[in-house]
Amino acid sequence: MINLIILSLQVRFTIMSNRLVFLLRRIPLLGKGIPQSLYGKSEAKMVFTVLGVLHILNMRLMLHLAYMAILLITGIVLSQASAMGGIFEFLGSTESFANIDFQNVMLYALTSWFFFSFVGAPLYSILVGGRNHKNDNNMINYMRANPAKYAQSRIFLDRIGDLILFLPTLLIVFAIAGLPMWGALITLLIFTSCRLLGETLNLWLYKICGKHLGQIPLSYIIAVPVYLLGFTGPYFFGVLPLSTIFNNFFASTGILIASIVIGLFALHYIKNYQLYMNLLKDKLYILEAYYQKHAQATAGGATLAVAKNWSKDVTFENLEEDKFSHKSGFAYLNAIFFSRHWNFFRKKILTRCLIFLAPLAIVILLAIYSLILGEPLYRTIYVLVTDIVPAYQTAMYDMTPILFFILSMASVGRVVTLSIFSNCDIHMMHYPYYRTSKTILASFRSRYMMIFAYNTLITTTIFVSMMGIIVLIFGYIDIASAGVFFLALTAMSAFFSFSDLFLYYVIQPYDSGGKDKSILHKVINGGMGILAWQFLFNIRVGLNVFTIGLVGAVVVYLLIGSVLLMLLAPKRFKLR
Amino acid sequence: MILKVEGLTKHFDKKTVLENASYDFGQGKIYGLLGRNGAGKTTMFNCLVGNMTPDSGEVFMDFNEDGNIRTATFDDIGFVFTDPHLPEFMTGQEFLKYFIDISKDKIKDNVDLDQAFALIDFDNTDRHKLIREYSHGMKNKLQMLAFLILRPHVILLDEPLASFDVVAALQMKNLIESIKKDHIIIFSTHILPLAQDLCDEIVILHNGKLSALDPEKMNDKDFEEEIVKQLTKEEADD
Repeated sequence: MINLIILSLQVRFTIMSNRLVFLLRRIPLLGKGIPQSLYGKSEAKMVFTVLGVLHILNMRLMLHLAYMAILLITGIVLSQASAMGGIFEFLGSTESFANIDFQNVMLYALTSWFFFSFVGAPLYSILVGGRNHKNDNNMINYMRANPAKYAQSRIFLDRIGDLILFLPTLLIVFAIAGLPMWGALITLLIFTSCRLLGETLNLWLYKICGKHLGQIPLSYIIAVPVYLLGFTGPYFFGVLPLSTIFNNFFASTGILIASIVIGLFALHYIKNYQLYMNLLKDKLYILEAYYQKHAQATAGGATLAVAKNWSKDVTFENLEEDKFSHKSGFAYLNAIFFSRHWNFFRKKILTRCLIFLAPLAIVILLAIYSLILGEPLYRTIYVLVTDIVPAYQTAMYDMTPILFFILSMASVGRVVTLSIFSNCDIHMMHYPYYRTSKTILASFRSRYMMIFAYNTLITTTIFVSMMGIIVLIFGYIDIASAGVFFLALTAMSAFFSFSDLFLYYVIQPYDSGGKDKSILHKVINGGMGILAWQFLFNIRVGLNVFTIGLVGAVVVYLLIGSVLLMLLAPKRFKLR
Repeated sequence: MILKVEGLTKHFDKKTVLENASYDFGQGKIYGLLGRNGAGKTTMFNCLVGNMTPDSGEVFMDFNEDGNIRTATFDDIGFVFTDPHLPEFMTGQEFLKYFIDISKDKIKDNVDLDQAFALIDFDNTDRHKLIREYSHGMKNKLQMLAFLILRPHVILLDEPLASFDVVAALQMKNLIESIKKDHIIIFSTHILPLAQDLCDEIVILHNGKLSALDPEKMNDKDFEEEIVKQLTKEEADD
């Protein structure tokens, strides 16, 4: 088992070190200085393994300390609330954290810990719910480790880890709480037995019904009150009489023997369990489906897996009818592409439009409510949100820069681009005629126009929603401001429609598996994200200034982008 | 007409796949390109057609009838992939129409779609199905049809009959033989009986270099042994 644990760590950190070398070699310029032979340097990887183990221990310690901190804070809050006569008194006082009785705090913290650790023990299983899914996959599917030994080593490591981490913590806590020191050891023994029992329960459940607790909805229904009770129970029911419990209960020979017997029974069951392979394979199969579905998630929620799912939205009628026969060449190809994918794209657009219409719907309801009250709408809103800045039209328009951030996420550019790649270009890029300058520029133009049309549907919805809100609140629209606002929205639509497609053509970051292999692409997208955040939090300018600046920037971007497209795309637009 | 490959070299990091590979491929012949896995057959095809840029070397078309020698372009060479690359959101008919549209300058004769599909045994239902619904063999046939219509001077076939059933494979073989006189056809295969049956000349890619198998060995009973011997000899023996 020790060898298996060591092998598991070596595999994990070898993969990690290979990944690190791979990433380093992809850094422009610097990467060329990193030799491929580094993959074969096992001494270097041993260093990674040691560093990795230290990292795991460090992370485990950090998590443990974070858990302890949560319990400590819970203990402080509950102890102080109890001393001050109630939670509201605690929250309302300016001296909530004065004169803390740490002995009392430890008793409260321990009470919570008891709930989580003993009552919640059956809900916890390192095997089925723990971390390290990729490591499970590597060891079971690739290294062909004996699944029983591997599973047992995971459980063994987890228990050892808990013993090492909890022992000093419990000794300190017990000392502060004025509880006997031997109580910490007994508690740890019973805790370990309970955890082993929890693992056993999950294994047994899987044997009986093919599912573990994590797959049974009822366990979540039970888990929520357990965890809530852990935090709030001591407040309502008081701390556990831990001294009595230890002196009269835990110290009794019967309890000690029962704990040992339970622990040994659990160990025996774990040792002789026959279904580890099935359990781990099922877990990995479910996780693989999950990872495939959520692979390459981007800020816009566009994933390659999602982009490939267009076909369930295609209508299979009328395939014989060639409604684009009047078109030819790439115009024909692109027309069919967007037509066949329309249902898929339409859902994306519709979802976004409905989200942007929601504020209008809320205001309409408020307007109806105001009518019933007999008040003008703006007064109703002012009454509901008393500290809002008076909702003059200009103030509303001055929030337009925030829409830059919102549209960076709402733009369908990313999902359309991914669909273009995964369903069309990934195949067509193999043909040299598809990569000529003329073809690339022609297809870029027609695709850009489609994406711009889609995004303009979204920005038009935003415009309509905003105008509707303004009319309902103020009873009129300032036409000039509305026009500038519409221009700003159109400029943003033009920008985001161009951006994803332009980066795709000029960088072409995807490989044949659909993975984004370009660090440059990721860096640029990261930069765009930072820029968008600035518009959300920092950039505050009036509508007119914002629109002039935005239109100017978009025009420059499109011009420069078009030149770069002509220069770079013919060389770079190919399959990685 | 001759396809002249001169000094083609390509390496990936420190591994050399093609090293000064040179050969002249003549019109009217079917060449079988044999090589071990990873020898560089697909890499060579990709370099010829322009999907990859070789590190050095040139590829020429020598139209020796009029003394016209020029660098080969992708218009001269068609590449039929082992795994066909076709846009799955189109039907077979749509893809062929699109392909004919973009290649109309290069297609010599008018193409009747019905006749074209009849060549590969596609009925009306098959033509109007999404390519996504096609079997691997159907995709291969459609891909092959596109190049049969285009008739580039050189046709490269990468393991072309691997996924064809017996009947389809025979049809394809007959088709390839029927067009060879006006083209240079090079196909890579691991199936020695196919190479013996179909090919006029065997070219071996080994250690990054191209060499011809003695034509007299082609119909020899020791053909297989000779091929294995050629593919396993060390670089020093060359």
